[in-house]
Amino acid sequence: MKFGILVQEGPYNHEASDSAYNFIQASLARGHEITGVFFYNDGVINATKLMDIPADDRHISKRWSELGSKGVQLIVCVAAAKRRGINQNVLIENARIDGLGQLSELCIESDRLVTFGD
Amino acid sequence: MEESKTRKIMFVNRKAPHGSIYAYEGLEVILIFGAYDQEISAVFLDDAVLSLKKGQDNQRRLPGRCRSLPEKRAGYQ
Repeated sequence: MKFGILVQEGPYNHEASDSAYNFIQASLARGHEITGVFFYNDGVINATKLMDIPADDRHISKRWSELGSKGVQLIVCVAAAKRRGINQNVLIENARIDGLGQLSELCIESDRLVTFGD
Repeated sequence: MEESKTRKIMFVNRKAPHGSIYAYEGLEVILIFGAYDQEISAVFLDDAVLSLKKGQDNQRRLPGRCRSLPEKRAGYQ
């Protein structure tokens, strides 16, 4: 099945981002396709490379970037990102900033859009 | 993209219209989707039902976009 993923909450503050990541890993392991991950609301903060995490904890943005390097497209909403200080300069590698129209495209391309939020 | 098929997309609104940006950004995404030719609907659950209450003062006393806009945008009823 083709899954589109929507992440609406920021990292560390909320489980949504972790759940989304685990869902994606499980889906890929089962042979499903991830059409893309869209970060909206505070979810855009998942895509900053400025986070500095203690060694014994998961590094959420690095984890997303590694997923992106495997070919999963990571899209950060431009409007939500601008409000929260996320721009090209602080963006993790393998992610891109784009418009809400891309979320619409994800909905159309995917069999299901799975939302992770509060 | 596959052949131009119409998707049924429902937006689930669950947050109160005031006090957070969820309602505003939720409205923003619905408006963008309106530009695409899809079957769109919105459901209001939990505190989001308050978004549909008429006669709300959504301009005063609330910071920035932490307020509902039901009477400011046409077609959002």
